[in-house]
Amino acid sequence: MNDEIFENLRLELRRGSLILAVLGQLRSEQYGYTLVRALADDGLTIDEGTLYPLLRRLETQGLLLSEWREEGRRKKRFYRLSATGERIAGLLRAEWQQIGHALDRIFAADTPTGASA
Amino acid sequence: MDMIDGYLSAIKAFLPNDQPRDILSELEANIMARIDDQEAALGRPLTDDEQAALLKQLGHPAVVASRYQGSQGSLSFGRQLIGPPLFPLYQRVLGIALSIGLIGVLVATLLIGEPLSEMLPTIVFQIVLQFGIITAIFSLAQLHLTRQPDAWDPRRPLAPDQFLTDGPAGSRFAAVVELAVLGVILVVLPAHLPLPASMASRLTITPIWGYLYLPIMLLTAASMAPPAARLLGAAPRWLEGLSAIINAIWLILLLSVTSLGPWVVLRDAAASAIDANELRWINLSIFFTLLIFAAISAWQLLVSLRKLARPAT
Repeated sequence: MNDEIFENLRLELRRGSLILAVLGQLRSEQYGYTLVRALADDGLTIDEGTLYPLLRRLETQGLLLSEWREEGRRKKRFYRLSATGERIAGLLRAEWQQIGHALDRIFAADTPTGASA
Repeated sequence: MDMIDGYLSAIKAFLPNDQPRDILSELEANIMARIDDQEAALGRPLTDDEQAALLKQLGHPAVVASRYQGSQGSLSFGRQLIGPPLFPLYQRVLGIALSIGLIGVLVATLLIGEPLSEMLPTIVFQIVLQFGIITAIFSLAQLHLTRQPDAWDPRRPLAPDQFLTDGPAGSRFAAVVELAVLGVILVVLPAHLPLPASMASRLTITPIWGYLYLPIMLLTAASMAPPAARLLGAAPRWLEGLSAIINAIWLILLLSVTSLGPWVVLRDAAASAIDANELRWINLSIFFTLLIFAAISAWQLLVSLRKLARPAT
């Protein structure tokens, strides 16, 4: 039961960081499969069935730009950050760092702030 | 490439009609990039098993397609009964079953000569019955998909149309039609035994129907089990055995009833020659209907026995 609870919460935690990870990777142009591999190489494995709809959604929101190009003998859809995507990625990264610092303070203290000794 | 084309076709069929086609082009491009990578690493083309394993990692076509759906339809009652992957197909099958069921009731209304207002409770019950049966079947399918998300074969990634026509236990569309028709019988028969109002003043059914009512209802309900299992794609041998037993009982019952005529008699023994003539035609129609249904049961029994006689694979 505890394993199941941990797994569910772990997935929620990962889900929240996935978009930032994808935006971060797309500071350099990539297509779907190379993006999956790049994320995995950096320690963040993502289900391809989850990534591709996410890329479409981010493009619909104006955060990404895409174009079809032929590479090797195949046509591929390359993605990169749009100007809006770069700005949002920067803001989200700052937000993420703020959250990270706050968590570091919470877990560094012997007793959480506000709790009675 | 056939397996990949089949997989992509299955995803396409689960996608809503308004989804752009470049979704599939992109999926294909990424699948081929993955295959190229693995083939370069292995120094040879992938085997069918390796391709199937790769597609399995991507996920069931219904699940992949559901992630592209903007509004994720589902059916919940306390807990989720039918999730986004199966909901579009559920809507489609429910539509077919309700249409057949309602058409069946309306045709029965016309043949029996009842006014439509008298049939409203029957129509409402028909809707509730069909909704209940189809929802129960798809809830079981959803439970199976949730508990065993990997229990599908990329070599047979069925699209909804193929899902309906090409199940492992026979045509699912035929199973839906069979369920809808049995549902009509279950609903219409109790409402019209005894006779419809237009005939009840002159004719009456014989007491034998009182004894037959419960066995007919129970057998009709039992007859819904095999098509329900076929709809879910189940094809165990015991199902064929159950079908054989049900058809054997139907055959015995129907042949027995053919020897127990007449089945409808005049209320007034001193009725006119016209009424007597009508009675003769009604009983003759009932006799031949019973023979036809007995023949159908005999045929289905033979089919089931032949399937059981084949060695298990």
